Amino acid sequence: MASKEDISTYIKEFKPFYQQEIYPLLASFEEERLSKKQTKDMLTKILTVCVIICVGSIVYFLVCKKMLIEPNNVILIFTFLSLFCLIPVCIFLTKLCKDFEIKVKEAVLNKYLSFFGHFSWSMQPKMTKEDIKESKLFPHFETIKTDDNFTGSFKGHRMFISEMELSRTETRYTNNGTRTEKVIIFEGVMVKIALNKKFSSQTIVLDREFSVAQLASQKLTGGGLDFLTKDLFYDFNKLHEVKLEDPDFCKKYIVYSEDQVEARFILTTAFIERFKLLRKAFVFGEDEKRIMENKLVNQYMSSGIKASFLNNVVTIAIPTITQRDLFLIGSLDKRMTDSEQINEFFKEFIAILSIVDILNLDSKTGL
Amino acid sequence: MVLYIIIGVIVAVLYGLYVQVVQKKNKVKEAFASIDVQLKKRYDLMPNILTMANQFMEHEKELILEVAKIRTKAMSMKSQFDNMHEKVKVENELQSKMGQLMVSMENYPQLKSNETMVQAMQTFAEVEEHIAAARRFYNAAILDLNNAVEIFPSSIIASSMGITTLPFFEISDEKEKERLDVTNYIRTNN
Repeated sequence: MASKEDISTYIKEFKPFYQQEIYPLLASFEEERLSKKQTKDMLTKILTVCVIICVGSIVYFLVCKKMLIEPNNVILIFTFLSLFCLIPVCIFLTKLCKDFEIKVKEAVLNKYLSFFGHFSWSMQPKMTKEDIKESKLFPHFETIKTDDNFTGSFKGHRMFISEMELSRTETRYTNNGTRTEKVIIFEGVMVKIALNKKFSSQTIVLDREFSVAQLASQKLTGGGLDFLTKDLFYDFNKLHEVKLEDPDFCKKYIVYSEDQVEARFILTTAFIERFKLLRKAFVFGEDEKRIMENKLVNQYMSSGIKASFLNNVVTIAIPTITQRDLFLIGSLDKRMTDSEQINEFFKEFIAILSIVDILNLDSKTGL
Repeated sequence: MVLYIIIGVIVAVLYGLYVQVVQKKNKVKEAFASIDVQLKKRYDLMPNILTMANQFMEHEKELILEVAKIRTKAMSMKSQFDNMHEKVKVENELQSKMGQLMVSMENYPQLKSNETMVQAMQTFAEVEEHIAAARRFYNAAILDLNNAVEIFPSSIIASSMGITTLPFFEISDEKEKERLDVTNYIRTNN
């Protein structure tokens, strides 16, 4: 365990801890990884062949149809076999990768997290659908899919961290009829932190980009245009807009609250300044390079962080800009002791913990 | 027919503006009242703190008495727009004296370590933060109302209703506005 609960201490002391405790553990999985990688490569080849046969067959049948030629039965049999194999191979391939990842995480992560003192990892979600609906950050979602979940405390603040995806099905009307598709509402990390300030009402900080549409829908049509702005929270009547003093903050975010005074009690001018720094702090690894190359600037600028304050707890939703799997350890494609993989995990976790420092949550004069 | 529609639209717009101005005026009243609510919490908390301070702080009897007097004066003043500046002055004085009392408590370790006192002080600090938040709410409401009163076309509605601009909540004591020279403070304590 690190000698002090402090980000700079973690950065300083992680390397020797890793060399002593984590490296041998990861190295013990290398042989298994290589064997599973061979299986994966073989399955990928089979899958590629199946796909080529299927695509080739489709082209063949179309040509036969056009030229009014009877298709060859052997090709027909091969096509059926390929189709028959396609789905099971896909499922088995995904399962192979995921099972290995989970196995490594179960063996390594709790040891890894012992460095940070009081954290544990689990595949079991720590935040339920009701928790998220109660926060009112994303009221209109149907499915919640979580990956990595962490529970622990940092500087006296109890924290729940969950990598998750929220989605819903939507019906689209096209020229050919209706089509149901899955729409991802949120993909990223949800963090729940217990605070040292007491408050009884709810305050929400949302992206202004989405909220203007919501507001217009509510104000002009009483919700009649909700199908355009599906992220509208349902208890609008109790929540009123809070106009704050910081123009930069107000350009990016909109605040709603049940109590105007309590909203300002939570969102002090100092806290607002620190909240603005959060988006800059949460650029996960690879995304940073791409933003620097200007490939994702627009997405970065528009993907704001949302926060909900309720019952002495703050729930913060941090979207990832690219659809990457965060907290990845145990990839079949990378060497088990690959330093890049370990560093990425470390940086991602540290970035989450730094919320407490950035927002100054452990100080009585902070939030 | 077209004329009726145009008249209808104009009436609707004027009514909308009227509603907005009234809502902003009421919001200012709500904000003003919310300051009072927080001030009441402060007054209610102070007797406990002063009683405990009186038991331990033998050398600060004068300061404690002064705080009690100002508290009584502040409580007796009604919260109205007319006497807002006076009320703000008295409240700021009360806040300042309480601040001095808190600083003086540093010299009484027995009092500082008293659990009830620590809790009372934490609650007091929270109440002060709530008062600051209430003042910010008040200023935001005043800004909205003043904008409605000064900007056309809602200015027409406001002037017909006799609604004028209102002052912001600001520090009225020139001494408080002076830059704080920390070095003198440190020298005195050393």
